[in-house]
Amino acid sequence: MVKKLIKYDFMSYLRILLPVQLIVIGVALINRIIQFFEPPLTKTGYGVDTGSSAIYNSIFVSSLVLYIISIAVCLLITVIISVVRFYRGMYSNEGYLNHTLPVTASQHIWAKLLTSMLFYLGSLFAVFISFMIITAGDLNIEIFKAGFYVLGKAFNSYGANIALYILEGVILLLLSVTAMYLKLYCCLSVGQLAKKRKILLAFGVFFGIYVVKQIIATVFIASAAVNYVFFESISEWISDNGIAFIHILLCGSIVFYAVLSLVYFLINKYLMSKKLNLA
Amino acid sequence: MKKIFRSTAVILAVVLIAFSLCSCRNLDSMREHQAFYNSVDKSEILLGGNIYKAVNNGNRELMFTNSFDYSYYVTTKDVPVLLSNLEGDNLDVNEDLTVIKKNIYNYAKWYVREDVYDKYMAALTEAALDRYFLSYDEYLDSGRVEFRVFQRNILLDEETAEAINKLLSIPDKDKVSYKELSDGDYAHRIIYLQKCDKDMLVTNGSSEVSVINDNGKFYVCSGRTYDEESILCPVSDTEKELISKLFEDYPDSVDTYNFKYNFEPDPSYGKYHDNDVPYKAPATENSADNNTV
Repeated sequence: MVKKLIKYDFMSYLRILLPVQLIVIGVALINRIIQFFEPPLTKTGYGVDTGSSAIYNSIFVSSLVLYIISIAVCLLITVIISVVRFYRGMYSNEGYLNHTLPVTASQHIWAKLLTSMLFYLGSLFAVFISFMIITAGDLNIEIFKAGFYVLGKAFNSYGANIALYILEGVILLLLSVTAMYLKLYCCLSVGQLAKKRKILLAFGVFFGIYVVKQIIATVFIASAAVNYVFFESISEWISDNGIAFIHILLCGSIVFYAVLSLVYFLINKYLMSKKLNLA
Repeated sequence: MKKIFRSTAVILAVVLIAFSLCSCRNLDSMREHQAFYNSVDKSEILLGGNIYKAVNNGNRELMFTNSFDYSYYVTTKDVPVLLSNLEGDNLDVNEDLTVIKKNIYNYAKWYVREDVYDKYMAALTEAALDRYFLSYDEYLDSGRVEFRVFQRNILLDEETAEAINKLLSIPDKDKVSYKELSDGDYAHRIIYLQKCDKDMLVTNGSSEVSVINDNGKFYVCSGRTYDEESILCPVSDTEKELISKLFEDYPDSVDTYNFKYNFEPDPSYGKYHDNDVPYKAPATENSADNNTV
């Protein structure tokens, strides 16, 4: 049943998000075509003139800005669509149908979450493809050469720790995206408790979570300033054990986001199963 | 759906292959400005298809007119071009691409192109530094907002060099003190010369000769010392025409200030620029104008 949920969610997302991702790729293509008309470098007697065609520069920069905006819009739309799909599917009229299906609240959440994450990663992949297009040619090859060179140097310096860093980084990225979506779902789940202005309450909850996080961060920084001797000894340890510190930081962040995701998930599950309000 | 994905993939592949035939001008420029070490001990550099060999210049310096193509870097051959400015050492390259100066903290290592290596080595080891050159800054507007400054070096003719050498070799009893010079902040017009070989390939960078025009009276001074006695070589009438011609022909290389400040404190600064030592200005006719402590 969950597979069918995922399948129909997937089709629904595809109808909206695929054109957006294709637009990003299209803008990258346009930018690359514009680069065909790049004026050649001319050498004067006093050094290299990098070519001062004002028309080309203005068109190129405009298309580049458009490209960057299209990436931002694509990622933003991906998140917005996921949130809207969740709200409509779970807490609006569609919810009457969805909650009659032989599926538990956890399975609903998992289905929505998996589809959202899939399309978020799909958007990132589309951005990657667009980057490959915009740098297509020599530049692309040189970028990969530079990347592999840096990786090779990192392996020489840090050995297998680099592979672990990459793995931990990937896990952290996935967990942070998961936590982001679950937080948004949590805000909507709390918001749906209200009789009126459900979306407004959801925004309020989102803002409240942000404020709480800021307060915790401020308290931490203040305590660091007060207990500077203790934190000085920590920073000394960090400078002596840099490699281990990065592992601790990454793994700590993974645990943090995992716990956060679990908390949000449990809140979502509880509200969806015990406090559902479709009125 | 499968058709859409397949056709999108085919179009993308075709486009990417087509674009792989194009290059990027900034990348081409970076490639032109990336040099490589041609030997393990870094005694050879490969740039633009030419090999440059390291020279041991000793106390002498190679004459160098910067090409102002600032972005040359030398790296090992495995460094990609995009990382050349991060991984590489900065190079200054001569205008005619014969000499490379590698900047290493507070000293420089010199490399000379293979085809002129012997010529430069002969100049470094054997050539007599009996000629002179002067420098001046050339300001240019390259079409953009900033001005580019080029240092131009002019080799003086043999006759002028001989005249200067003759003047510098006069006995100390014929030299005069700096006190003979006029007073006043911008009293003297000075051209600074440096020694070089006849082909202007090498110079003795530390040694400088000053040619002073004090209201039509000309002097030549070798180096800068704080010995107030017997420092200036007065230019006689036979050499005056040659020496004065320098000031007429090369006005851009003329500096204007009071040469006496090399030996006496500048009134606006204080003695040795030491704020703890109170400065007492020398007595002049208008004592009321003195700044006394």
